[in-house]
Amino acid sequence: MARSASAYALAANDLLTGALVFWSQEAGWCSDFTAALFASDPATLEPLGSAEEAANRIVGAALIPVNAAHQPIELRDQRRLQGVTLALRTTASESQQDFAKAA
Amino acid sequence: MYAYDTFDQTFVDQRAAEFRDQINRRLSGALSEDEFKPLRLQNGLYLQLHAYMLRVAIPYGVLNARQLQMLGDLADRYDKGYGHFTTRQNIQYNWTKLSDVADMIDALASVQMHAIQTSGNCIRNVTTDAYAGVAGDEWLDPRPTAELLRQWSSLHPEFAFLPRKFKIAVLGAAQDRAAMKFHDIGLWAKLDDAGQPIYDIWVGGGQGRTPRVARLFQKAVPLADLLPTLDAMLRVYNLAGRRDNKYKARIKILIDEMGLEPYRAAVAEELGQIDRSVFAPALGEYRRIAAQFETAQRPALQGQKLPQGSPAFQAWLQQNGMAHKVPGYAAIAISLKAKGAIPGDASGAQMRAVAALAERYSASELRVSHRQNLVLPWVKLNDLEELYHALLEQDLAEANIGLASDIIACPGLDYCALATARSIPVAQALSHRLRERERLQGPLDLSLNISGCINACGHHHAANIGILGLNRTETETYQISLGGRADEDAKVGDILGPGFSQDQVPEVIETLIDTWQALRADGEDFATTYARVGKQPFKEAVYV
Repeated sequence: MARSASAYALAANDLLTGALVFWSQEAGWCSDFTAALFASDPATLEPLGSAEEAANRIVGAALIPVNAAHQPIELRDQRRLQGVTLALRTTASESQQDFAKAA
Repeated sequence: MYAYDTFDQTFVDQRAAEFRDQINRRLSGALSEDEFKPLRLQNGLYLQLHAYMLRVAIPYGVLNARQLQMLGDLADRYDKGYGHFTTRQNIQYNWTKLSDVADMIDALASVQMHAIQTSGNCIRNVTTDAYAGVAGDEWLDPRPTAELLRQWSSLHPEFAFLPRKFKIAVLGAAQDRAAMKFHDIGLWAKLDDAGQPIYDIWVGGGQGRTPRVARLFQKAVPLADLLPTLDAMLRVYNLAGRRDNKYKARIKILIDEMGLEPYRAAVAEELGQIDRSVFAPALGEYRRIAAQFETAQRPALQGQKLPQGSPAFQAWLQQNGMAHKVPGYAAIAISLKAKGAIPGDASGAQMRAVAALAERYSASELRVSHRQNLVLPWVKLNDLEELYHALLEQDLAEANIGLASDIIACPGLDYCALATARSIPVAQALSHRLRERERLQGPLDLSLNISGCINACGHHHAANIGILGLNRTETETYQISLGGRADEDAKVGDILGPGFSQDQVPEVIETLIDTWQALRADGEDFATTYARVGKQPFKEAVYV
């Protein structure tokens, strides 16, 4: 457990799609982290993760330690919530045009 | 190319049906995740940060046009429209649904492909030179040997649960374009005086947290002794390799701890107990396989000549073209490293477009390189200019093969559950800077590789400039190493010093390149300059 955690959320991958999901305040799985249930005691969430894995709804249940603002403390969780990098992409033709201008 | 016979096709079809049943049992709850995990890993299915990832084997990096078209179709139908070509000549789909995997495997089987042994502690996809069979400096086409090893290692009953994964590369040319000495076993094929295949066997290479350059195990092993020798080498590893600590379980650690000479002695003793008669059919099988590859070779062409073309065409040809062993042809690399692109990623549309170009211009043949690019191995000289314009139309004519902007990068913390830092945004930022620099200054003759963790899938140890992403107190930190190389003079890079933040990395890399350019003699590449001057001047330039 992260020492500076104010609370924890429960994350997992959906069994069918593998998508990142969180245990919600509605007592189900959701994809929106802001709708996640935050519990100060990890023991509240751990049995839920085990039970949901056993019920074959999710895989890889894990706790996400968060700070007082409910932001993930650990780098891995921060990046996981941020999603994949797709920005900055240009195409070869744009690059070729750059080279053509230089020629 | 090698084409499946009835045995191969039945084997793959049966395996596809078996995995479909396993997936169904997982979805129905009959199998728990603990029970299912080893089964899915044996079929290349991982669970990553955002989704399941399916790693598809491209045996020794060889594809035909129909297969690449299928890979493109799978990207569009079952993924988010792209796939990622890896440093082990495979392709990964990052957004796979468990419920789709069986259909994907069936589709692969319909074009003689599969995902078997792309994960797990077994013998993985055998890799080789992306220019195998066409390189001007080649002594022996390594593909028949690689195919023989594929057949030998597929579901080998003794080697399905080794202490750790096991990677083999085969090379048959003067120049190492397969990072052969960074494999658990590397085979350097040559011809003896009678024109028969012989193999120098190298052992104990690898990257990861304990990088090692392979050591010479035995020279000039005849083809008839190859499989018995490999069997004995694997048996000793299987028995003596450490299973108590996965970080010490690779054969390189066994060789370190046991010593090369005692390992040789143990293999010799094991070899003495092997019934060699069981390997007798391998010679005939090698000849059968080799005949298929020989039939696919093209005869020399008369009347072909290199076109003049525009300066841009000439620059592309010089950078991405390679001299061919058969007169009248060139081998052309297609860069998947456009300015700002994600290294190794190709869209479904791009894959289909390249497949169509292979059909039209390259005898329907393609290769995947360990540097995460594609190769058209059989382009007639008279077709080169037309091909260039067709690639331009598809945004696939980036002329940067082998340059600094031809960056190798693993998926890193964007996708990978093992990663400790992101690789992709670092690669993209550097690609912008370096491609611009290449535009202004001309080719930058150095290799730059990025890994998002110590497992080194991005081959950072083996790069002239290597970048390793680490998690230091919940912050991405990038450690630089210099002087590594993956060729026949393979070397592990030297760590430069303390790491840098993501924002600092582009500036640091540019300073290192400035330093090299200031120190280099005429025409010297980065590796040569570094070997001459050492780390100190680079260190002084960066840590001021």
